[in-house]
Amino acid sequence: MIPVGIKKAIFIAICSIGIDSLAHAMSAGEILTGSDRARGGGVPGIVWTIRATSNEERAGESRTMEVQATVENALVETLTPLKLKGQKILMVGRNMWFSQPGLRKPVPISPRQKLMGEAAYGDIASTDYAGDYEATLTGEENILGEDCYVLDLRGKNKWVTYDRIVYWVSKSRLLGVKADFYTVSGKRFKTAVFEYDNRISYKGEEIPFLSKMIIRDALHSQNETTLEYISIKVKQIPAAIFRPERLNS
Amino acid sequence: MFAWIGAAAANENRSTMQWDELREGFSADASVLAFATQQETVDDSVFNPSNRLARLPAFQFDLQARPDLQLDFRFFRVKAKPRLHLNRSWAEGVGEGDSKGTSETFLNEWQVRLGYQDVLFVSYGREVLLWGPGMFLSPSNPFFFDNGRSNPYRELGGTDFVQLAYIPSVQWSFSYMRNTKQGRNEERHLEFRPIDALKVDFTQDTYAFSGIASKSKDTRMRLGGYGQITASDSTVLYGETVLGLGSEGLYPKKVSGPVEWEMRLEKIDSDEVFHTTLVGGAYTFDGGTNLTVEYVHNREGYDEREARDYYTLGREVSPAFSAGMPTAQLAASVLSKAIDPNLQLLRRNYLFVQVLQNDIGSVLDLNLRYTHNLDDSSGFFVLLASLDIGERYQMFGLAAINRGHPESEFGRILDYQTILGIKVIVQ
Repeated sequence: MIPVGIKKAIFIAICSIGIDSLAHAMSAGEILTGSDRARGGGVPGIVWTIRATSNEERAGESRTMEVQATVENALVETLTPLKLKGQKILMVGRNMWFSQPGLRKPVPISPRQKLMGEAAYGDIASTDYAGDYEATLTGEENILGEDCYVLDLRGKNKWVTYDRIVYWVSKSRLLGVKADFYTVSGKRFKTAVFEYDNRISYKGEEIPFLSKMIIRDALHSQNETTLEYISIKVKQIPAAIFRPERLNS
Repeated sequence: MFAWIGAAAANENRSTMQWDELREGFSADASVLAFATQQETVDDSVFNPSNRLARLPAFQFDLQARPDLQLDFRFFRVKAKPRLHLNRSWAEGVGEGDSKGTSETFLNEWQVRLGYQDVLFVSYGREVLLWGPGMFLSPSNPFFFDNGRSNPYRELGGTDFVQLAYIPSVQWSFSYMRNTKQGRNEERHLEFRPIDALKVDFTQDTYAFSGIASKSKDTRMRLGGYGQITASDSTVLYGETVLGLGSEGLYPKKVSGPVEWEMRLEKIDSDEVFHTTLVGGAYTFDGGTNLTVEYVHNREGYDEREARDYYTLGREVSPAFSAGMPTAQLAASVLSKAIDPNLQLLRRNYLFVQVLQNDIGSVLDLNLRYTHNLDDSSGFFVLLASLDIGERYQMFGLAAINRGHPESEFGRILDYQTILGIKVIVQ
């Protein structure tokens, strides 16, 4: 069995030769690893600002957050609106803590806590679908005007944000275009589309990066949450950022 | 000459960059709170007869300014939380009798911290240093008793600490801390003494654990710890404990003397192991409602015989205080220690339940807490509510009701308390 790290290295080497000529030989895992790079996977750490707007919240209300994330951990701090400024959510592995100004100490919370509207906290952290899901390439389909690989993703453990995801990845760009999210009972409960207008530089390479994620309730399609990703920076994040006892300091 | 101009320009660039860096590293938040508190004491309290000892005001109005300032510049951090408190209180009720006014400015918290490569940190300052997963209390914390269960709108006073922390990875953290001065912390009423504490924290995947060893020069070591497990996407289970030889609590003791009772450090040299242990869990429902249930066993608390002695002390000492006898001052001293006997909890077995629903209609948060003393069947309800009005204003309220016999933990001093206020977020 080839270790995942080696697989990633091989995949990056293949990308530098030319995607089109070799894409037909790529495995589901390699496609997934490639698409993860545009959503925070594959870099040592990332800091971004997210503006979240949900039409389920009061009209016009949005939330701006700064996220510092690695593949396994994330610290989310709310910047606006003013009444929520300073609220923090810390995710370390599957553990989560909440803190806010005036709260005397961080409070452990369960992953069920929602961010807002249709978005979960797992949606704004770095994505590691390749690490969290078993991928099966089930076919190809044209979605939103692009030829895409269709991947069926099943969670490797019970701690993943979603038990099952059907994921469409653009063949030409190797970027996730659309995702359908399923409950453990097999019910499709929300769907998301992605845009990649951002660019980041990492190891001399310019990588397209997620700029928008629009999440809709599959049953009530009028319920929609938009996550806009702005000011993305690749950055080595100190371990101290992810320590819960330092959350209030 | 061109080299000189180049060097000057480079210096100016560096100054501009440093100034930009300083500006980016500076943050300031400020809020102003105005709130009114109305409360009623127990009429026939044996420890606070007719409220003549504790003299708790029936009505008070507070205005508090709470700015928080912080500057991060490379390896250096300084933060400060100055406070302005204005208070006016009425002993019998608004408009009845005299009122008393106080004003105070002070530094509730401050800190200077140096970091080395984001791995090693040394700091000194005044801080409210709390930890642990429990909502009800944090038994493993040797510095702070209060966990905010009674009134979360009241700020705890900071204690001065020197701290050293080594954080080699996300999984591990090692800390040393020592309290150097009492600062604004009014919780502990024994003479202040420095306590040294070593803390180790470990976090991995679905669980987190911490261990604490603490000791002061004249007392024996106490060992504490806490842990939590994320059991599912809706459930967190946790526990916390502290154990040590002897107890620093005050226990009722019959003596020969003018007042015949004292509150004494009876068990400080005992070889018995005393522990306080909390176990609990929190469950989040689909709609976002959170239910927390905790059980506490407090070995230091009074058993049935000690509780009988405790209330007998109150009944027998109280008349000496009330009648203004020659021993009134001594009686007052005994009763004061009885009201606050340096124990986290008076008895041994407690149940705590909290139901929390945030973001109702995106504006309303509701929190209902109930604490039940399983030994004397007294209890304590607290309802907290906050309502957002626009972006900068928040109305908040608290209603606390004590239930129980006057000779029970929650029935002995206060009947009820209500708070209504408004918070303005300035920055």
